[in-house]
This record gives sequence, structure tokens and C-alpha cells, in this order.
Amino acid sequence: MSITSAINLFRQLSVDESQPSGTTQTRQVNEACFDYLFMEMVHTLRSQLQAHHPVPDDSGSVSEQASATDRGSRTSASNTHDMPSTREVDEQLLETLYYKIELIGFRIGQRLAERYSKDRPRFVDTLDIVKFICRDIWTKLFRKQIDNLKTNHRGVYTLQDSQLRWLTRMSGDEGTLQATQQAIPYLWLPCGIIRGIMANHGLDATVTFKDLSLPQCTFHIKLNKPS
Amino acid sequence: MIYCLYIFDRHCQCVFYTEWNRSPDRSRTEGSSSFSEPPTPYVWPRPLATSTTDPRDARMDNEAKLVYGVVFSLKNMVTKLCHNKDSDGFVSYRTSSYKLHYYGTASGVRFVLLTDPTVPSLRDVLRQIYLHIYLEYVVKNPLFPYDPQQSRPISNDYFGNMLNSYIKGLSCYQS
Amino acid sequence: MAKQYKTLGDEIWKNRVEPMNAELFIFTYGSLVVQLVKDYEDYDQVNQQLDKMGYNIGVRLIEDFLARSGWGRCTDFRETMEVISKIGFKMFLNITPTVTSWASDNKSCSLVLDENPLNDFVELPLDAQQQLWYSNILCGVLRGALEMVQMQVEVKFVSCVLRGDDISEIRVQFVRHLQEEVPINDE
Repeated sequence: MSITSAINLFRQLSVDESQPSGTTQTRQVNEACFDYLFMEMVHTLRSQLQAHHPVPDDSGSVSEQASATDRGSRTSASNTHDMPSTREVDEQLLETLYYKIELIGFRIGQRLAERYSKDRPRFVDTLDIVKFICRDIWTKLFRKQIDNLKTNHRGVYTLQDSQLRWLTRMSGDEGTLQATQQAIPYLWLPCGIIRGIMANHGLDATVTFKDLSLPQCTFHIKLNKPS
Repeated sequence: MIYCLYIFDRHCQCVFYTEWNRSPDRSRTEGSSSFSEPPTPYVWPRPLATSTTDPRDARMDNEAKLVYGVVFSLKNMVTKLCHNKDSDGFVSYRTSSYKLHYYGTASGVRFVLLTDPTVPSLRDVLRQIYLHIYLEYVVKNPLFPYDPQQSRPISNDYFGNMLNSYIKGLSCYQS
Repeated sequence: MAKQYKTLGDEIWKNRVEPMNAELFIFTYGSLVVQLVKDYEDYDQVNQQLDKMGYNIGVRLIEDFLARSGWGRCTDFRETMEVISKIGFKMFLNITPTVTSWASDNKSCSLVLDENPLNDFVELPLDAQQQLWYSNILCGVLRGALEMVQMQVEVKFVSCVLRGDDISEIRVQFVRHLQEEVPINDE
């Protein structure tokens, strides 16, 4: 099969917005549907990668335990006894995982932008778009606005959420540091979403997060100057 | 007065135990003001992060098995004796020194709470623990490696803290 | 009985769940399917992967269902299917598929989905229409959830509107009741 056709899966999306049944406009589902899907998505993508790049443990085989505890921990304590090569594999794996999750988020962001920005007045500038993310999008996704927005007025925006809904249930077995490490892959999705929304409005940005302290998180948007 | 809580998974394993108002030597210090609760309650199986041991660890494995055995037998007996399909089945039993409250789900998760004999039915309390604490911080916690084929002790902070504050907020907690 | 389940399902949806706009969920699922298609380049494998993911979701989601509905009784397969349609689907996806086409032995039936949020905004390219069961995750969810309540089933899509069929139909075949685990006596 061709990959192009796969990418076209959503071809009709923007065209279809006029929409078949009126119910679709306000369709609602249980929030838990997303929670379960998101959890399983990160889990599946990770196991998929681990199947391709087995991470050897002490016994030389891939153990269930290792895959469960090493979830996205760049500097996990349990890794300290591993061979450097394992760490490299780990790094590579995380790199790929990042790429996939962020890209999934990016596509979601584009769709969300198409869906939610059509009913509102045109954006006057970049700040206007960032505000749209902080207010409209955040409210749709999390039922609250971003708590704090800062900008240096030179293309850098800092969005702080003191209680990111997707992080509120995250608590690990091995302390806060470990939990924070394990939470990282879940943050790549909102990073991708933000980047997707910006891109949908013609803005090329790099989106990262910092100061992760569950369930608080700060997103960092940096506009890339057109070369 | 609430004494302790056991949670068993579908593999009949105790995945969580914690206790309140129960002094380490297991004899209750009734009316004694000198007995103060430790800031964090005793939890078993021990969290992976802690390397310390507790004298209570040794007896816990056996105790949990005993409790499970009793609950399992009683549940079966009650089901066999009672032919009403809508019945809740085994709910609690009482001795002169304690009362055991039971709530089990169709998926095999079992909650057992021990209290003093005067406490009224806490079946609803156990349901609330299942709905608002177990569901939120075990089932829906992305960092809990949930695998129905394997037993996994619950040892995350949120779960413990939420449970602790919920139990301590109950009117029957210390009365 | 069916009426009573419908009332309970409606009540749970109204009072005991957090509804949200479906877009985030729909777009996430779609974006995930796109990713899987890119990764596997094979629709059969994507179907399998979606079913597997559904299973993993189902084993968690059943606890959500039981906790929120308070459902605790052992029921037969026929009753279970009514509960799934009127309470299960209702409380998660806000839809109520029709339970129909019962086999004479009462061991298999169909769930006909008059609407399916996952399908919103989706149109499959031609080659995918031949092979991809876009919402296959639902089959896995049912399989996983039912296994946790000691019911082994086989679940598969037999038709889907995204493939040009008139209806979307999931076939559920009861296999057997599983035994609850009993404590090991190590004395």
C-alpha cells in the first residue's frame, strides 16, 4: 500500500466541516475515553519500539519488569548499572518515541485549529494566536485556561499551567523524580498539539516544556525565523 | 474506629494493606493519649523505593492470606445459601472485638476493611474508595503498569494520601 | 429489562461521567491510526494492533464501568450484551448500538452502530476501504473488558460504513465462562 494514501486518511477533514448530522457539531464523549486512549497510545508506541530495539537487562533477555519501569526515564536510577550501549539504545528509543508522539500531537493540533478557529474573528498577530491557544483551546481540552502567559515580545512565549489535567493522576512507585521522568513522553503530545495549531496559522515554532513538577508544567513556544 | 484496609487483586494477592489506630504491637492503646499516629501510616507490600524494613512485614504475608481465605470462604458460603440473584452477597461479619466489611467487584478486586464492632455498614465507603481512589490513582494512573495477568502492589503516593485523608475524614474514624 | 438498562445508562451519562467535546478524542484516535498505518504499512497488522490496544484499554475500562455503574451481578451472555449496549457504550461514547441478529443458540449476536464518534470526519482512501477496520479498537475493548468479568468472547467487525457498507456491525461470539482464580492453599 502507499504511504501517501495513508496520510490522506484525513483529507476530507476540513472540507467535511459543513457536516453530515447536526449532532456532530456538539458531540460529546466521556472524558475517560481520551484518558484510556492516551495511556494506551504511549504504552503501545513504546512497546512497539522496544520490540524493535530490545533493551537487554542483566539476564540478557528483555524482561517485563524492565519495560515497565524504564518507561521514558532518561536518567532512571534503575539504568545506572546498565551498559552504556543500553543507554544509547534507550536514548535512541526515546528519540523515536518523541518523534512519533509529537507528530501525533501535531496532527491533532492542526485539526483542532481548523475546527475551533473558524468561528472567530481573524487573528491580528502571533500573540493573538497564542492567546487563542491559552484560552479557547485550553478550555476545550482542559476546561480551564492557561494560568500564566508571558512573552519577551521577540517570538518567545511561556505558558504555565499549574495543574495540567493529564498529569493529575500521575504518581509513581519510586518517588517523585522517577514519576517526573516517566511523565515526560506524555508531555510531547501537548507540545505537538501547540506546534500543530501554530503551523495551521502559518507559524513555524519550536515547542518544548520545562519546569515539570507534577502536575505543574510550563510550555515554551519559540518562533523560528523564516530563513 | 477504623483499623485497617486490605485490597486483593483478581489473582487473590494482597496488593495493598494499610492500618490506622492500630499500634505496632497490635494491642490497641485505648484511651491512651500517649499513642500518637506516625505521620505516614504503615503500608504493605513495602514501596519499592523504601529499603527500610518494619517488624510488621514478617507477619503480613500470612495475615493477608488468612484474611483472603476467610473472605473467600464466606463469600462462597453466602452465595450458596442465598438464592436471591439481586442480593449483595457477603457484606460483613462481626465478632466481639472487630467487624469485617467486604466489597468485591465483578472483575475480582476485593476490599476488606476492619473496624471496631459498633461501626455501621461501610460497604458504601468501600465503593467510594473503589470509585474515587482505586479507579483514579491505580486504573487511570498512566504511571501504574497495569497488567491484569500479573499482581502489582499499589505503592504510589497519591493513592496512599487520598486514601488516608478520605478514611481520616470519616466520622467513624476514631470514634 | 432492556428499558431498565437504558434508564440506568442515561442516568449514568447524565450524572456520573465527565462529558467532553469529542474532537480531541476523535482526532487523537485518527492521528494514531495514521501513525500505525505509516509504521506497519500493512492494514491487517494495523487491525491487529488496534485490537490489541483495545484489549489493553478494555481491561482497565471495565473497572471504570463497574465502579461507575455499580454493576456487580453475574449475568448471562444475552443480558450482558444488553448491558454493554445500553450502559457500556452509552456511558463512554454516548451511543447505544442495537443488539440484534441473535444466533439460535444465544451464543452470538451483532452490535449495530447507527453512529460511531470514531468515524466522524473520516473518509478512507480506496485501498484502506478494502482492508482497514478503522474502529477495530472497539472489538479489543469488548474482548478485554469481558475477559475481566470471566467471559471469553471473540469480537470482530463484519461491516463498516467507512468501507461503503450500509451499516457498521460488530459480531460478538460467546466462547466460554472463565473460572475465577482461587487462593492457593500452601499449608
